[in-house]
Amino acid sequence: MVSTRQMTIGNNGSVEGNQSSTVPVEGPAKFTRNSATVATNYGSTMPYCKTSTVQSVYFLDLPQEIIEKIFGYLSFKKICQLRLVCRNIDYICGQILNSTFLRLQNQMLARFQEIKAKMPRRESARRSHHLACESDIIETLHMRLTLLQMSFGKHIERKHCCFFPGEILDEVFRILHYIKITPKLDVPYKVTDELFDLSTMAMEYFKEKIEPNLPEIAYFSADFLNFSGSFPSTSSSKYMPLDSTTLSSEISKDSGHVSNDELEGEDLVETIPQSNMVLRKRIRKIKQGMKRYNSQLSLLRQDLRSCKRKTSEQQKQIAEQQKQLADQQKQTVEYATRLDEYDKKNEEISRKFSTLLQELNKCKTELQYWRCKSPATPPFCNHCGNAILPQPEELQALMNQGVNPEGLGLEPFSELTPFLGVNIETQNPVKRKLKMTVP
Amino acid sequence: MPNIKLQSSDGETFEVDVEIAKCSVTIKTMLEDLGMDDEEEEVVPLPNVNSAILRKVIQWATYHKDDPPPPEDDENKEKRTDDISSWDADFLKVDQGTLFELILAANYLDIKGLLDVTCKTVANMIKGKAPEEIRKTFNIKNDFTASEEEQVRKENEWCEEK
Repeated sequence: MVSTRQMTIGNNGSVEGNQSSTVPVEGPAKFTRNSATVATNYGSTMPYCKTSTVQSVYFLDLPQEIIEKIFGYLSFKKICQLRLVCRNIDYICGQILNSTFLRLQNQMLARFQEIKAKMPRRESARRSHHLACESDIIETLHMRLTLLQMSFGKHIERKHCCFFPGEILDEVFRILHYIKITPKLDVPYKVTDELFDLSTMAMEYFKEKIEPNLPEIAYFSADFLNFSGSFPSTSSSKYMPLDSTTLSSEISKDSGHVSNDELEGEDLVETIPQSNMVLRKRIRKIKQGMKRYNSQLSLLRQDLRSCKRKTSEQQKQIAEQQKQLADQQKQTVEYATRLDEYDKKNEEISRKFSTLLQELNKCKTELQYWRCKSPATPPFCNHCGNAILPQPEELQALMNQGVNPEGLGLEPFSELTPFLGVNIETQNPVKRKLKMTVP
Repeated sequence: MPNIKLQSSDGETFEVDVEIAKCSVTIKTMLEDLGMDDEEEEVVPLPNVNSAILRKVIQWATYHKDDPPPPEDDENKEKRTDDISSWDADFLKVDQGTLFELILAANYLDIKGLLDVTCKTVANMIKGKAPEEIRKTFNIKNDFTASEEEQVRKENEWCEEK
């Protein structure tokens, strides 16, 4: 059943554009440069080789659009890794990456404008709109892709390199998928966090490590005015975006004319109309370039404006927080002064207490003194053992304090009688004392 | 059901149900455009498909004749290769050459379902393999110059953590 396969040598293995349906009519097998030489070497290691017959169709024999379809099932990160396999695959992968990057840019721009059209004109009303989050995310996607275009675009256009950060494309698709499956979007900046990181990394890496080794682009030299002419001559011109930008295609159309005109213009300076034409063409090209840069500039301006808005919001927040902080500091100071006052009061109170305590001590000693002097204690002399009779003035003092000497078992002396008499007369010694103390 | 005769590149003729043959958009449009009558015993020549591959394609189409039409490709859809049915996986346990010829035939005959599943199978062969392993798997020679390879390698280092 396999015997009918034929081998035709002669196809040198180059990928043939879009000859998708042009499978060879007689004998489907094409033998490529690679397969002819390598088949014998690797034949035994092929996992899918069950039959002993020579394999008729190899991977690189597949038409480019089929290989692109196969690669379409892989992540862009993987596609970037695949570039290392061989030149052919590098070329195909480069095309896939470039065209996807371009497609995403256009898609995001269209979607951004579509959403913007649905949103109210007022910024404040936009914030509460139900599309606000999606709009924010799409705006960021668009912005990041545009920034990447500014770094990579001119080199991709000139086929110096391809859009090598494939992970960014994966991330954009992940975000788009997330938008699609999430019914209620929230915190847009978290969704685009990874994209921010990746795109910044890619741009920095490109500027630091890749761009210095690429052919320089002089913007306002003859090269800029006429740069399409230099495309094919560059050594690394291997990547051609599938749907190449309008600019490059437009220019490549008349590139031949321009160089011719230029040459003639140099030779025949006196032929004014021709040189005029050249000049006009140059001016047109400069205008085109200006237009492009203007659009990029306006995008940058937009970006800057949103940044400014954000900073002003943050400054407002900071001011508010500072105010709060000041308030709190004021409060703390107040509390501190109050604490000081309390401390002072406490000191005063403790001082008062200590004087009170002193007074109390004094009172206590006085009381003790009086108690030992009092008739209730044994009135005997420690030396002679005779009973000590209280002196009349002491008795008087006792009586002044409202103590009746008789109640203490003391005989009132005869000389005290008149005092007592007075006391009896008054009947109420306490009252009397009160009368005496009250001024 | 009326039958139709398909002739492979090596002259073998296969008689199949028209409905099964119409899995192929190429055959379907041809039949519609030419308005073939049932009575006519005409043979449809398929010069790009040999008998071995045509037999397999017919086997696949017979099994999948009642499938709903595959959905249109959405460029932003999720890329899945793990949704190959076990029958298809078994069906595609063939050598690499046959697999690639099946792809070419599916492309020529415009059978989207078969093209999808065969491409997914190849994608699965690529997944998880380093460039060198891929070269070995598909018999590809590394034709980069040292500086070119270094350039690609350098570009791929952009997201490596320091």
